[in-house]
Amino acid sequence: MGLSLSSLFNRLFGKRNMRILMVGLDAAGKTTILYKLKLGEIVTTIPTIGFNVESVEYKNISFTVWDVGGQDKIRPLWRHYFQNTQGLIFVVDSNDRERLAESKDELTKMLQEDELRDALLLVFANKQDLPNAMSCADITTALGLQNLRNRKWYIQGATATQGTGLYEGLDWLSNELSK
Amino acid sequence: MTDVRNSAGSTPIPPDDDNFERDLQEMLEDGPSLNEVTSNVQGGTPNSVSATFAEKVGPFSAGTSAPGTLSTSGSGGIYGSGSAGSRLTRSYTVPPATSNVPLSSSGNSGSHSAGNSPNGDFIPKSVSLSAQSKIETIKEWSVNTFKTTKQFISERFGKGSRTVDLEMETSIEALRDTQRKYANILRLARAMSSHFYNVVQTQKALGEGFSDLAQKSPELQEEFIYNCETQRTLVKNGEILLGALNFFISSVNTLCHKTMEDTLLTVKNYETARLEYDAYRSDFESLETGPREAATQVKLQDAKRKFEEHKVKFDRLRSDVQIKLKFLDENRIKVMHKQLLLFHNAISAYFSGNASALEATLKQFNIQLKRPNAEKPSWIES
Repeated sequence: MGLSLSSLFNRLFGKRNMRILMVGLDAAGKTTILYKLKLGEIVTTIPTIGFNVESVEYKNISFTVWDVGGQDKIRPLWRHYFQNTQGLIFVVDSNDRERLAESKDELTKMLQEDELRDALLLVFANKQDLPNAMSCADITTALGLQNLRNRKWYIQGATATQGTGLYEGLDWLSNELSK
Repeated sequence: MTDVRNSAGSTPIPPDDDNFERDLQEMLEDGPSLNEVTSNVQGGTPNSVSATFAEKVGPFSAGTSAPGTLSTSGSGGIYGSGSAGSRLTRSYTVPPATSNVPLSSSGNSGSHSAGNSPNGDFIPKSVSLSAQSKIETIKEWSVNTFKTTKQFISERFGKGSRTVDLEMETSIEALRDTQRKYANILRLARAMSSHFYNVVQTQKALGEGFSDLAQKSPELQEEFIYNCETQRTLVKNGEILLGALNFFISSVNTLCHKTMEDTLLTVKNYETARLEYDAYRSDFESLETGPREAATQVKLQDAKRKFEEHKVKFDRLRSDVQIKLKFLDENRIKVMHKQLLLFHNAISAYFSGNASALEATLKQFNIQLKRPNAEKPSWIES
């Protein structure tokens, strides 16, 4: 009885943890998104070698966001951070039409990993403020998201430098997590 | 789940299944299928979970199947479910190529986990498979546990041999030590922040008391006002310092309990793999030195195969740990460099009474006193 009460209490009032892995091609804006979420500010970033981890509190969930560098040489390192990942944030530069196919390849490769089979997929179509940006629908098609099976996914247009769309994405993750 | 299916695929069912077991399995066929949830390899078979999910989120997945409706504004979101609704019907109508499979041949994986009975009813056939494979899994698990426990005990008593990578074990031990020490710093920083919070609260109350008295006692008004203002300034700067302290605590906490913990989890997996590897290695070695007969030859082959399997796993995890240790070190240095700078600058600015330097420090590290996403949580949430 006491145990069930305390678990109920935890469910209602406790902080829940969610491990998020944020990846994407280089210069997609992952680190900018991370620090916009953490600090609410735009920090000057340099290309990430290695990774950054920050805890972001939002809606009573503590998101531990792992931002791993996206340069092609260090992409093989992504897999080291797959373990226990509940949510995968895939960041796409909506303006970079040439490399969308490369993005798709990386995403497809990753989604086949056994360790990520239960992970939610959130795609941030970043840099929507640029005039030539592709729409979410176009990116959905280009990444082949409709053809994904056994995967909960969501695509969200975002502009990291203005902070638009970021919390909408986290909203989706937290809603899916509490289901 | 996947393990269950895989082991069913790799281990053929013994041919001498008796009638009772066959009856049982026929009875079980009517039950809901457990295997289908995760199996992607089956061609054209229903996927019950994603089917119900597609039904549940009907409006959204309908939206995904018609791309024309997707073109919302730039920041609009699009929902997707695991499978589109169209797959749902197909999976129920197309019968698999092998519908009535005799049980004795059912060892070769779940490609026929569903069949259509003659009158077109849908009958999942995989329960029998999963029951069988569950037994296999349990068997494998207990053999594995027995072997590793044996190895563990013999290592403890100094009999068994163990693989030692001195360099790696030193750095793992160093990491554990670092984590312990950082956790201690974290505990002290938390204590300091909490003491300091209480000091600031007291200063606030004191300031209010002074201001109250200033109005009520005109003969000491000036003195009270001076004191009140001093306390208020202290409160203001104290709150800035508290912001810096809390930022330091939160970052070190993430480093200590998330980043390091992640590597330590890999280390744990590595250590388990090491034990398993040594268990199968000593198993193989004892068989190899033993008498060579036809009967042991099969056993030897089997042990060799298992040993090599675990060697591959062990080697993979070892290189994983090596890489992760290196990356963790880089991350730790990067994070601590920044945090220690912040901690020092904020503390020394505050206690030398340099309010403008304190504010500049917080600006330099982009710290805001209010958390970016803090619309105040309602009292029920906090």
